[in-house]
Amino acid sequence: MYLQKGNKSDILPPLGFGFLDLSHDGKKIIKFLKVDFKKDCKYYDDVKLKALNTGLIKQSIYNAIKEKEGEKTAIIEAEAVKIEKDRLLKIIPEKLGINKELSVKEIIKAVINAGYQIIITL
Amino acid sequence: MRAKITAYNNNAATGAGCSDFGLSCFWGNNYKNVFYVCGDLGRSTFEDIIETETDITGQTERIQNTSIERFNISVLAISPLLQFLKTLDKHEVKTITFLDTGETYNIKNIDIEDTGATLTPTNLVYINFEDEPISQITPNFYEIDAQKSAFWDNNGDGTADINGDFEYNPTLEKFTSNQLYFEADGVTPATAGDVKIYVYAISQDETTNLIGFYSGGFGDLLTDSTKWQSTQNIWSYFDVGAATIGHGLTVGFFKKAFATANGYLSEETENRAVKLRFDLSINSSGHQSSIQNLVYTIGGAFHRPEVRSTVTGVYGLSTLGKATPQEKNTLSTLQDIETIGAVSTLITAFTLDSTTPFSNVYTIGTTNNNEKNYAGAIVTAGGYTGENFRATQNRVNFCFGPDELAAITHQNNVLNFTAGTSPYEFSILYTYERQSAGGGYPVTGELTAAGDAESQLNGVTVANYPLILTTTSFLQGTQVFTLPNTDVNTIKFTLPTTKGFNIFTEFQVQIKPLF
Repeated sequence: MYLQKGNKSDILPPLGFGFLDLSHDGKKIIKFLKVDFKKDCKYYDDVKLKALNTGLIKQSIYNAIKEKEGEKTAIIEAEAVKIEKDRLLKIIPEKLGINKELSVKEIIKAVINAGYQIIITL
Repeated sequence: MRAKITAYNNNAATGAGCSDFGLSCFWGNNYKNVFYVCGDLGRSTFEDIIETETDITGQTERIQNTSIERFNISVLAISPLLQFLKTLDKHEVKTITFLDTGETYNIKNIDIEDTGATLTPTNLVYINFEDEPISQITPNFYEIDAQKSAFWDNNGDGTADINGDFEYNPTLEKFTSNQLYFEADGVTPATAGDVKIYVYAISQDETTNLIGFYSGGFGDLLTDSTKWQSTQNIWSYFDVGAATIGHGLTVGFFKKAFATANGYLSEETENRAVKLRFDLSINSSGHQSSIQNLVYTIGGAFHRPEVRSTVTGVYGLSTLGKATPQEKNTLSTLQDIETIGAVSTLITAFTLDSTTPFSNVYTIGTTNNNEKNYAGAIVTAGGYTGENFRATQNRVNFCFGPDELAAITHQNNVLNFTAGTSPYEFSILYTYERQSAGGGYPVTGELTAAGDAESQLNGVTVANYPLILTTTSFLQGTQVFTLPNTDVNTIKFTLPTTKGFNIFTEFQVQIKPLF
């Protein structure tokens, strides 16, 4: 898990990584998968299959990528998760000025509002 | 064919080329071959006439001797050209020059095949000879009258592009071109034929190696491994939706994928990118080439030194780059001089603390609440250098430069890009930090005035930052730079202080071939 400055539209997490954010209603913490443009050649199919077979990505993520790849990128909900506050605070630098007394959801929201994305393994 | 035949002897005394004799002829008199023969008549001959009679004894008796003077002139009654050719072997130097190409050959063992009949305008005289190249410009090339032709059309406008470049799509990291096949008239699209494609890898020192050979027909697929001879599985990198052989059809090739899988992807310390040349032909026509050019990324000593925790005082330095392992920049050597008052300490040791896809985070040491100045110098594994000068007070940074939580923003592209952003252009997220409480920085001073902070490219101001005021404690922004060339360039974020210091972060940058 790490922070990266930028919008979700500008950042493409590596294969096996996604964004941590809140659900639309703000009630859940969600891992989001960003699906890249479809690069339709055998090599990229092999890379994804190898990632699946070696456990880098789950079957559900593999299926989602195969289904959603196209002429546009797509950000789709992968799964709801729970995050420990200490783990989250560990990656947030002091200069962001995030109040450590906030709840996990509030911290996530504050970090994203400050212009950063939380990149996390899917 | 138009040709010129030249023949002469060398001067026996000087060796210079000249003729010892000339053949004079005159084309006129209704185009008859009329010779003017030079010289005297030579020694005449005589035909003796002896008359005899028989006397009464039966003995022969000469009664009259007479002689008739005769002159002999020997001239071949053939055309002057044929006469010239027939005597060609008598010359010491004899060459033929093809006027269309300028190529010259020695003529050897000439043989004139003449039927001996009276020549008419339609008669042929066959001239056979062996040639020996003197100034051959191109290899012998034979064309069949019914030859089809094949071309690459890189931009898809229907016109052949000779020795051009595939077009690059930076979003998909894919090269594309289009196939053109014509019948012998050069206009009618061909609908069938044996298509061959030779793929060569051309290194940056122009060493060329064949890495794939395709043989197929119309409708066949470039993704079909059975049509290829290749040790590098080249069929695996063609766009499944753009890989069919046929007139006007697009060919797509994911060069980055190919480079990644076959060792042609450059890394921080190795420059392994190659061009790929695709030679196309149909029915053994002449090959037509198109090149997939080098795609550039950006490297450099992007870095940010800073105190990370006001609680622990841990400070270090992050090297930055783009968000792939091959495009990151790692720290090789460090010299960080910590100064408190008149005491300076040199630190060269560092430890890798953590990594992200775009950064390596190194720890140098810990600091306390004293005011300190730091003068740092780094060299990355790729050989790029950087320098910085910053301060801390109460474990708070006074520094100006790239932010450690953002990747360098740059779009990989070919130099003559037709789509996407120029590879010379990139942007850096910068961060300005300065303590605004606790008495500021008594030794180091403060920013002299709003707008005095600036970024520079090769010593020339790119932008000033009027939003950084003397009282500003934290400010972020994005700065776009455009490099002038592929050489090593220098970028500097800098600001003057009221105590005569310069807070700065300076580093070398360069665009370089990635794949």
